[in-house]
Amino acid sequence: MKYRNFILTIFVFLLVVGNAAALGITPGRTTINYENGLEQDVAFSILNNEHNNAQVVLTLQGELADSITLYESIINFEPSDDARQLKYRVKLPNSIALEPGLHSAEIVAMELPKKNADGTYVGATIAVVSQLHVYVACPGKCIEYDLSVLDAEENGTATFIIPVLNRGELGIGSIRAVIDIYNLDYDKKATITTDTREITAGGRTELSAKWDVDVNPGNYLAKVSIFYDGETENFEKHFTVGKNVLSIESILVNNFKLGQIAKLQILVENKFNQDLEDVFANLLVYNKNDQVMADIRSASEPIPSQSKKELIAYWDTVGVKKGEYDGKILVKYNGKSADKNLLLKISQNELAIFGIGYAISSGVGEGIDITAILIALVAILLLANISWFIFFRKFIRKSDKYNKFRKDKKKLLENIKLK
Amino acid sequence: MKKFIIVQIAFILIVGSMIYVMYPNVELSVTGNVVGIDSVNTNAIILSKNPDFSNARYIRLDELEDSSFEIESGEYYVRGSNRLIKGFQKKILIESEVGLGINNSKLINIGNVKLNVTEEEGQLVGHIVLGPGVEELIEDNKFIGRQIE
Repeated sequence: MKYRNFILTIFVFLLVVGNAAALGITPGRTTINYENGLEQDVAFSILNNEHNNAQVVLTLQGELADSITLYESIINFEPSDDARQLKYRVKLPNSIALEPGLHSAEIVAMELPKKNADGTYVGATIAVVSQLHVYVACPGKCIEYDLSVLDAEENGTATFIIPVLNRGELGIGSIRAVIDIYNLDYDKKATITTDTREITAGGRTELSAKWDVDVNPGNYLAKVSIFYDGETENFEKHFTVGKNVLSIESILVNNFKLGQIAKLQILVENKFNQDLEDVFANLLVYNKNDQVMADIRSASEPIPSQSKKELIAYWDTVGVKKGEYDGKILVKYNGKSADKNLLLKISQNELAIFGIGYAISSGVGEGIDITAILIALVAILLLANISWFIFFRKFIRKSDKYNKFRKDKKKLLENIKLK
Repeated sequence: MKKFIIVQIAFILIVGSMIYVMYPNVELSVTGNVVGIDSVNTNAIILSKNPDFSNARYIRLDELEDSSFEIESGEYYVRGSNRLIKGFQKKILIESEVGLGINNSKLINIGNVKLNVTEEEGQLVGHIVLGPGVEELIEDNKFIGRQIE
């Protein structure tokens, strides 16, 4: 949330300062599965992010462009307009039924550039695209897959996730994967196996496996074999151990005086197996409205492999009031970054900085599935009724026998009396 | 016979009432990438991109500051959970937003997905990959942004 606000703040600032343009479209992609003779409307919206007078032209391109009809092709925005809800008609051609896989089209929204006083167009032009993806199922079983590696940290436990989409017309009864992990010298470091799952036709699942990372930070290769209903698919992907290549160890602030320039000493460790150039720290402090009230950067420094370095940043605290503020520290290198959320407690003579944990975590969610409870309830009632029915029948039979016995006995006694 | 039916009705009423009282009821509202939660009897939200809830994420409600959380765009399956019951699954859609802003010489991704931005000057001259919030110095050409993943 803060991240989005930060982006928005920067952008609003840019709009105010310079000659700017902005355009958005949502959704960025609509995916539909092919059906013979399918004809339907697809909704989308053009966003007037700048709240400006603007003219937007819509065009179509791509393989399925001829199968799409736009209801409107020129949109005029007033400054009061946030967005315009639109739709297009898609009528899928039967010819693509014979070509399984992805077929696509693009709806391109382009903001027309404004003319200068002399009638010429200057400046860059922007356009945004809403894609239409149509999947034609392949006969039989065929899959689409990828690999993500999460939390691959030294001495930690990495999670390998293989999302699998069944693009076939038939369901898959059993699918699993085996992952071999190699270093860049092709020495095998580990072999792990995922769980086994099933996928309905057109369905999606994720295979996952854990790996206790007992190797040094660096780049590795995962060779993946997916086995499903007697068939095999192989692919490979590089991944990095040591996602948090840079670790933010501590932030020191000595001799802090509110209203003066504070010196922040940010200790950073490079855990990677190579040197990093141009590393710098960026501290963001948010006010009560989640707006960035301070954006402090250190100078760029190189950090040798497997070593620590202090990055120095200065914060002019003139006008800053005492209190608690949310913040974020980012350490950036080669276009990548490590970050940590912070809480800053500012008093007249002290700036205390505390780290904050993440909101999303695992380890909860035990409990019985509501569907299982309802099934159990129905099963109990069914069992009770069957038991009762069996008992009732036996009881009636016994009663019949008893009644017959009593009648026979009565008759016998009457006969004896008569005799 | 009558007694038996009465016992069954009583059983259904008791179990139904218990489920009603303990059921983890969750109402979700989506605004942009933020999912707001209105819940009763719920300790955690179970979230997955798959209907079989494989590789699910668990979001503890007591760790959320304002009963909301932020997720990437996509289609998700969600169910509430407490220590006794996991609720019925619901489906939520976080719409992707492709957005580009331009300011004299800087192009910024103002949407919520990673973009492949092609640069054209009469013909294709290159492309830039921009994550949400990332900006790049540009020249006065035409830039077309499309969602990558």
